[in-house]
Amino acid sequence: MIDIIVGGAILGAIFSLIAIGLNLQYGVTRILNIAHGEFLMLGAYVTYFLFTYFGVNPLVSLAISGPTVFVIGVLIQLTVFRKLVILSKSSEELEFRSLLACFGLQFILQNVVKDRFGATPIATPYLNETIPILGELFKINMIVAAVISITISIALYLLLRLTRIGLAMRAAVEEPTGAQLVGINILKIHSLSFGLGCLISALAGSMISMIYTNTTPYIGPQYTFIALAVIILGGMGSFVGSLLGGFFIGYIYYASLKIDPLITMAIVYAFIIIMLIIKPKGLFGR
Amino acid sequence: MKNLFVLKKTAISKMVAVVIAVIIIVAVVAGAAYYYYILGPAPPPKDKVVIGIVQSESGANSAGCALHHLYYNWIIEDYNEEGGLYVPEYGKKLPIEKIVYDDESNLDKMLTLTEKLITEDKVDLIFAPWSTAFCFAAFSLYEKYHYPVVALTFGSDKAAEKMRSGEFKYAFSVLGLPSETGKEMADLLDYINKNKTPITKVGIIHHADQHGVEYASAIAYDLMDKGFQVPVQQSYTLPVATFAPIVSTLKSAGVDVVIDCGYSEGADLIREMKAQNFNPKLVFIGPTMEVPALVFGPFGFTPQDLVGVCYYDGWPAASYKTGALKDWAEMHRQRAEPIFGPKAYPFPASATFYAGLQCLFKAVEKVGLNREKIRDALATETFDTVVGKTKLRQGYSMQCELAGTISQWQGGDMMEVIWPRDVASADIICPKPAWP
Repeated sequence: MIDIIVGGAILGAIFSLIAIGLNLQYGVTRILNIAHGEFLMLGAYVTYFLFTYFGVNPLVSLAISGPTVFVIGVLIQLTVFRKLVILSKSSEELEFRSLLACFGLQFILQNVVKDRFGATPIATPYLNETIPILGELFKINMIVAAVISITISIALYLLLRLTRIGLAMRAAVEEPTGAQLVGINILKIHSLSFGLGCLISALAGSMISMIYTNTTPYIGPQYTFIALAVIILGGMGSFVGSLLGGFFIGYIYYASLKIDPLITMAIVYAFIIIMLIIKPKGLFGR
Repeated sequence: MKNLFVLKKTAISKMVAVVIAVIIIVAVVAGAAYYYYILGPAPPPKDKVVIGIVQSESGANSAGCALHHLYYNWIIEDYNEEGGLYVPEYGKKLPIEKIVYDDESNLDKMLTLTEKLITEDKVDLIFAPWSTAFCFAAFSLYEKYHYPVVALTFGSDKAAEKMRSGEFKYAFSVLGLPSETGKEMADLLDYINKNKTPITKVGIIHHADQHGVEYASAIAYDLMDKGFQVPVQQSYTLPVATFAPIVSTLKSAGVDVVIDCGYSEGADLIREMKAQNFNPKLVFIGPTMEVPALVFGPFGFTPQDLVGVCYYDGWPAASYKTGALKDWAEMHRQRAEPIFGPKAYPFPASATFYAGLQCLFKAVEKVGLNREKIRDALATETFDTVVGKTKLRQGYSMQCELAGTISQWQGGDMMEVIWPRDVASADIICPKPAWP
């Protein structure tokens, strides 16, 4: 039982972080970035590159992988999505076009990485030792990832709540037209939000590369799916929803692994379907 | 004097006319038969042998494909270095050219491109695609167009049945099949149980794909038949966020042996077993975990980390400790190093993969480019290859003089063959030492 409580929380923290980035992007920019997992993958590869070629500690590499992928995200937003925002006549049209653009972005990012690094699985194994928690053994890298995930989530929450930039982002979410009227540069907020979402995703990717051995250019979609599952459960555009949804999925996932690993994803899908029927906007959705 | 040139108007009898006509007809037919079936019409002019390959150069399968299809490139390079492939109907060696298409790890695309190779590009030979599922799908096409193929990365009892029944006459495979593997595993564990250390319970987990399902089922069946208990038999889908609950289940069940019919996630499983201080007497892992370049490279293991870990798949398995195979292993490392890094030693089936392709080429050298004759030669002949006398057996694994079945990491850069005992390169380490 202890392993489910602690293990589920660890997984949940990581899932929450992955989802928060995507939720932020969609909430502010109305772009459902289904290439979100590819930015996670980029973070993993930056950490791998720094570790393998320069001996950089994977935890230290977080300070490099995050900003690097932030810059990549902002550049993509400026060159691709800003154009779509300008050209689209309605938010529905923007969502549709950006979805298609993200599909293409997925394949581009996968193949760029594959061309540079090959498709062989990579890893940056680090902190694989264990510590006991309430009588159960847990790997240190997973605990560290969970703690960092929660820290980043709290930091983001404080950014949104206590800073002017955060206020501007929340205004852009709640009333985009009104925000522009009061002088908020919506286009800059979009770029910042998109970049921030990519940064968060990259940090999750860097931590995942420490934990798992089979990181390839093609791992992105499975994490995008996890993020979507969390967002559907927790609610689109809700920070609290992403946090709680992540923990919920983490617990379901861990518990079902104990019962029968084969039905894990089926159980997750089942909860998503039930939520879509009962409360389509999610637990905390607007 | 009579004019000898004056024709006598002598009537030829009907009987004589019939006899002459029959003689002429028989002569014409015999001559035509001699020409077409004995001498044969002259082959059309040809300046190269074209081999078609559809493989996963991008997408989820591309990593595995890059590893295993290395030998496609090598054998073509090796033959071209010697002038090409000898084709008897031309009496000379012809250089080999390849046409390669990327199926993007998409099965439908693989089938379309394979058909393109056959019907449009009209290649002389085909190398099989990567993975059991893709090969299985492609066998129907080879059957339709009569292209004999030696499939390297293939292991399915379902398809093997069709090979044995004649439904897939043109497909040949190299690797041990699930049913054969189950028997080898059961024999090995029985030997260990009687001679080394008691083994009663085995836990089997597997990836929920065709490979995992077939191998796990076959192994479980044969183990239970031998009297072993299998208290844990679970499957999982990828990604597995954590193996902690699964390892916990195996630990609680008190299994002596853990068998994971999966892929690179086996590395995560090993790390989790180490994390939970779970030390079964033996661990078996699946494809990719036998590749030195991966396990000692990106997977981050040292040889000491894996001592005692066995590999159930990828046989016939060669040992590279001595003789010609020792040189072959060093050649392999040097040749593969630019692609896979410094530990690019061969995995157990490397030499047998190469040998499978040698069989195909040697069949051509013996009977020419007639694909029916190539097929018959593959089915009946024994060839000299890098692993000794080698025979393809339709519907079964390839038979090699110098190869075994089960292999084990024993602290070196390459795996040791531990079963069967008569071809083993090292004794079995069991129980395996505790994780370092």
